[in-house]
Amino acid sequence: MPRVTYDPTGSSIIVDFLLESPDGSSSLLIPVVLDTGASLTIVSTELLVRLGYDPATPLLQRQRIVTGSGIEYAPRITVRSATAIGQTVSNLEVLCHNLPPESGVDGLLGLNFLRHFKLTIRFRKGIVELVKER
Amino acid sequence: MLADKERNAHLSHVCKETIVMMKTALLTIKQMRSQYPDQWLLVTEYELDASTSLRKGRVVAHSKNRDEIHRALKQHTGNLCIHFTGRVPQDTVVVFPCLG
Repeated sequence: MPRVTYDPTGSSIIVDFLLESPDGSSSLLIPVVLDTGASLTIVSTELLVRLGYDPATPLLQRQRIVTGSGIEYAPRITVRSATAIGQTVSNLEVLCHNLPPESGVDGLLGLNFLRHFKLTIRFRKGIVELVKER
Repeated sequence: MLADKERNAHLSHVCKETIVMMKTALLTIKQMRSQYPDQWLLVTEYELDASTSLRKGRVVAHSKNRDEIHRALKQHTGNLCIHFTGRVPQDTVVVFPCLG
Protein backbone atom coordinates (compact mmCIF):
# COMPACT_ATOMS: atom_id res chain seq x y z
CA MET A 1 0.00 0.00 0.00
CA PRO A 2 1.47 3.40 -0.96
CA ARG A 3 2.31 5.21 2.24
CA VAL A 4 4.76 7.77 3.52
CA THR A 5 5.85 8.62 6.99
CA TYR A 6 6.26 12.15 8.27
CA ASP A 7 7.31 13.82 11.48
CA PRO A 8 4.08 13.93 13.56
CA THR A 9 5.60 16.64 15.77
CA GLY A 10 6.12 18.94 12.76
CA SER A 11 3.76 21.77 11.89
CA SER A 12 2.73 20.32 8.51
CA ILE A 13 2.77 17.14 6.41
CA ILE A 14 5.43 17.34 3.72
CA VAL A 15 5.67 14.82 0.88
CA ASP A 16 7.66 14.49 -2.33
CA PHE A 17 5.83 15.42 -5.53
CA LEU A 18 7.06 14.31 -8.96
CA LEU A 19 6.16 16.47 -11.95
CA GLU A 20 6.71 15.50 -15.57
CA SER A 21 7.74 17.91 -18.32
CA PRO A 22 5.30 18.60 -21.20
CA ASP A 23 7.05 16.14 -23.54
CA GLY A 24 7.75 13.57 -20.82
CA SER A 25 11.50 13.78 -21.34
CA SER A 26 12.37 15.04 -17.86
CA SER A 27 10.93 15.36 -14.40
CA LEU A 28 11.35 17.31 -11.19
CA LEU A 29 10.80 16.07 -7.65
CA ILE A 30 9.87 18.79 -5.17
CA PRO A 31 8.70 19.00 -1.54
CA VAL A 32 5.07 20.01 -1.12
CA VAL A 33 2.77 20.35 1.83
CA LEU A 34 -0.28 18.10 1.88
CA ASP A 35 -3.27 20.41 2.27
CA THR A 36 -6.79 19.00 2.36
CA GLY A 37 -8.07 22.55 2.71
CA ALA A 38 -6.79 23.61 -0.70
CA SER A 39 -9.00 23.02 -3.71
CA LEU A 40 -6.12 23.27 -6.17
CA THR A 41 -2.54 22.07 -6.25
CA ILE A 42 0.04 24.87 -6.28
CA VAL A 43 3.59 24.73 -7.68
CA SER A 44 6.27 27.41 -7.77
CA THR A 45 6.12 29.31 -11.06
CA GLU A 46 9.84 29.21 -11.80
CA LEU A 47 10.00 25.47 -11.31
CA LEU A 48 7.21 24.96 -13.83
CA VAL A 49 9.07 27.20 -16.27
CA ARG A 50 12.22 25.15 -15.67
CA LEU A 51 10.25 22.01 -16.55
CA GLY A 52 9.21 23.55 -19.87
CA TYR A 53 5.75 24.92 -19.10
CA ASP A 54 4.79 28.46 -20.03
CA PRO A 55 2.72 30.16 -17.32
CA ALA A 56 3.03 33.48 -19.17
CA THR A 57 0.78 32.34 -22.02
CA PRO A 58 -2.06 34.89 -22.13
CA LEU A 59 -4.61 32.23 -23.05
CA LEU A 60 -4.34 30.53 -19.67
CA GLN A 61 -7.19 30.78 -17.21
CA ARG A 62 -6.28 32.74 -14.10
CA GLN A 63 -7.27 32.04 -10.55
CA ARG A 64 -7.76 34.68 -7.88
CA ILE A 65 -5.55 34.10 -4.82
CA VAL A 66 -5.92 35.96 -1.56
CA THR A 67 -2.57 36.32 0.21
CA GLY A 68 -1.41 38.25 3.25
CA SER A 69 -0.23 41.04 0.99
CA GLY A 70 -3.29 41.32 -1.24
CA ILE A 71 -5.04 39.69 -4.16
CA GLU A 72 -3.16 38.08 -7.05
CA TYR A 73 -4.28 36.36 -10.22
CA ALA A 74 -2.24 33.22 -10.85
CA PRO A 75 -2.25 31.21 -14.08
CA ARG A 76 -3.59 27.65 -14.12
CA ILE A 77 -1.69 25.19 -16.27
CA THR A 78 -2.12 21.49 -16.95
CA VAL A 79 0.82 19.27 -16.02
CA ARG A 80 1.33 16.13 -18.11
CA SER A 81 1.50 13.91 -15.02
CA ALA A 82 2.02 14.29 -11.30
CA THR A 83 2.88 11.62 -8.74
CA ALA A 84 2.83 11.64 -4.94
CA ILE A 85 2.65 8.90 -2.32
CA GLY A 86 2.94 6.31 -5.08
CA GLN A 87 -0.10 7.52 -7.01
CA THR A 88 -0.19 9.30 -10.36
CA VAL A 89 -2.69 11.71 -11.87
CA SER A 90 -2.41 12.58 -15.56
CA ASN A 91 -3.23 16.04 -16.89
CA LEU A 92 -3.37 17.63 -13.46
CA GLU A 93 -4.29 21.28 -13.30
CA VAL A 94 -1.93 23.27 -11.09
CA LEU A 95 -1.77 26.86 -10.02
CA CYS A 96 1.50 28.71 -10.66
CA HIS A 97 2.36 30.56 -7.48
CA ASN A 98 5.47 30.94 -5.32
CA LEU A 99 5.24 30.00 -1.66
CA PRO A 100 7.61 31.62 0.86
CA PRO A 101 10.98 29.88 1.40
CA GLU A 102 10.25 29.73 5.12
CA SER A 103 7.51 27.20 4.36
CA GLY A 104 10.16 24.60 3.53
CA VAL A 105 8.21 23.56 0.43
CA ASP A 106 7.93 24.42 -3.25
CA GLY A 107 4.22 23.78 -3.55
CA LEU A 108 1.02 22.54 -2.11
CA LEU A 109 -0.74 19.23 -2.80
CA GLY A 110 -4.44 20.04 -2.98
CA LEU A 111 -7.77 18.33 -3.33
CA ASN A 112 -7.75 18.19 -7.12
CA PHE A 113 -4.99 15.57 -6.77
CA LEU A 114 -6.06 13.90 -3.53
CA ARG A 115 -9.72 13.41 -4.45
CA HIS A 116 -8.79 10.72 -6.97
CA PHE A 117 -7.89 8.41 -4.08
CA LYS A 118 -8.77 7.32 -0.59
CA LEU A 119 -6.61 9.34 1.79
CA THR A 120 -5.86 8.16 5.32
CA ILE A 121 -3.81 10.23 7.75
CA ARG A 122 -2.72 8.58 10.98
CA PHE A 123 -1.73 11.66 12.92
CA ARG A 124 -0.41 9.96 16.02
CA LYS A 125 1.90 7.67 14.05
CA GLY A 126 2.79 10.14 11.31
CA ILE A 127 1.65 7.97 8.41
CA VAL A 128 -0.16 9.01 5.22
CA GLU A 129 -1.74 6.37 2.99
CA LEU A 130 -3.13 7.02 -0.47
CA VAL A 131 -4.92 4.19 -2.26
CA LYS A 132 -7.14 3.79 -5.29
CA GLU A 133 -10.73 3.17 -4.34
CA ARG A 134 -12.63 0.40 -6.09
CA MET B 1 40.58 21.19 -20.42
CA LEU B 2 40.85 23.21 -17.27
CA ALA B 3 37.16 22.66 -16.63
CA ASP B 4 37.63 18.90 -16.95
CA LYS B 5 40.53 18.96 -14.54
CA GLU B 6 38.54 20.92 -12.03
CA ARG B 7 35.59 18.56 -12.38
CA ASN B 8 37.74 15.49 -11.98
CA ALA B 9 39.51 16.90 -8.98
CA HIS B 10 36.19 16.75 -7.12
CA LEU B 11 36.45 20.38 -6.25
CA SER B 12 33.61 22.56 -5.17
CA HIS B 13 33.28 26.30 -5.33
CA VAL B 14 31.31 28.86 -3.45
CA CYS B 15 28.77 30.95 -5.36
CA LYS B 16 27.23 33.46 -3.00
CA GLU B 17 25.64 31.27 -0.31
CA THR B 18 25.48 28.20 -2.49
CA ILE B 19 28.04 25.45 -2.53
CA VAL B 20 28.04 23.91 -5.99
CA MET B 21 29.46 20.42 -5.81
CA MET B 22 31.52 19.28 -8.77
CA LYS B 23 31.51 15.57 -7.95
CA THR B 24 29.93 13.87 -4.99
CA ALA B 25 29.07 10.38 -3.89
CA LEU B 26 25.60 8.90 -3.95
CA LEU B 27 24.03 9.57 -0.56
CA THR B 28 21.02 8.12 1.17
CA ILE B 29 18.37 10.50 2.42
CA LYS B 30 19.66 9.95 5.96
CA GLN B 31 23.20 10.86 4.92
CA MET B 32 21.94 13.99 3.13
CA ARG B 33 20.18 15.16 6.27
CA SER B 34 23.26 14.45 8.36
CA GLN B 35 25.78 16.10 6.01
CA TYR B 36 23.63 19.09 4.98
CA PRO B 37 21.35 19.94 7.91
CA ASP B 38 18.74 22.68 7.46
CA GLN B 39 19.59 23.24 3.81
CA TRP B 40 18.01 23.14 0.40
CA LEU B 41 19.59 20.53 -1.86
CA LEU B 42 19.65 19.98 -5.60
CA VAL B 43 19.93 16.26 -6.25
CA THR B 44 20.58 14.35 -9.48
CA GLU B 45 20.66 10.62 -10.30
CA TYR B 46 18.09 10.07 -7.60
CA GLU B 47 16.15 6.95 -6.71
CA LEU B 48 12.63 6.88 -5.32
CA ASP B 49 10.85 4.24 -3.30
CA ALA B 50 7.40 2.87 -4.18
CA SER B 51 5.79 5.82 -2.40
CA THR B 52 7.57 8.43 -4.54
CA SER B 53 9.83 9.41 -1.65
CA LEU B 54 13.48 10.24 -2.22
CA ARG B 55 15.74 7.30 -1.22
CA LYS B 56 19.17 8.31 -2.46
CA GLY B 57 20.88 10.57 -4.97
CA ARG B 58 23.83 12.77 -5.80
CA VAL B 59 23.84 16.23 -4.21
CA VAL B 60 25.10 18.74 -6.79
CA ALA B 61 24.30 21.96 -4.90
CA HIS B 62 23.30 22.91 -1.39
CA SER B 63 22.32 26.18 0.22
CA LYS B 64 20.48 27.76 3.11
CA ASN B 65 18.80 29.92 0.47
CA ARG B 66 16.06 28.28 -1.62
CA ASP B 67 16.37 30.85 -4.41
CA GLU B 68 20.00 29.87 -4.94
CA ILE B 69 18.97 26.26 -5.47
CA HIS B 70 16.28 27.35 -7.93
CA ARG B 71 18.98 29.26 -9.82
CA ALA B 72 21.31 26.23 -9.72
CA LEU B 73 18.59 24.22 -11.49
CA LYS B 74 19.44 26.07 -14.69
CA GLN B 75 22.89 24.45 -14.73
CA HIS B 76 21.47 20.94 -14.93
CA THR B 77 19.28 18.91 -17.24
CA GLY B 78 17.31 15.68 -17.00
CA ASN B 79 15.58 14.36 -13.93
CA LEU B 80 16.24 16.57 -10.92
CA CYS B 81 15.15 16.77 -7.32
CA ILE B 82 14.86 19.59 -4.80
CA HIS B 83 14.95 18.54 -1.18
CA PHE B 84 14.84 20.51 2.08
CA THR B 85 16.55 18.83 5.05
CA GLY B 86 15.24 21.25 7.66
CA ARG B 87 11.86 21.82 9.20
CA VAL B 88 9.70 24.84 9.86
CA PRO B 89 10.73 26.27 13.26
CA GLN B 90 8.29 25.50 16.07
CA ASP B 91 7.68 29.20 16.67
CA THR B 92 6.72 29.79 13.02
CA VAL B 93 3.32 29.27 11.46
CA VAL B 94 3.09 29.26 7.66
CA VAL B 95 -0.18 30.58 6.27
CA PHE B 96 -0.97 29.43 2.76
CA PRO B 97 -3.02 31.48 0.29
CA CYS B 98 -6.78 31.22 -0.12
CA LEU B 99 -8.26 30.61 -3.56
CA GLY B 100 -11.11 32.93 -4.28
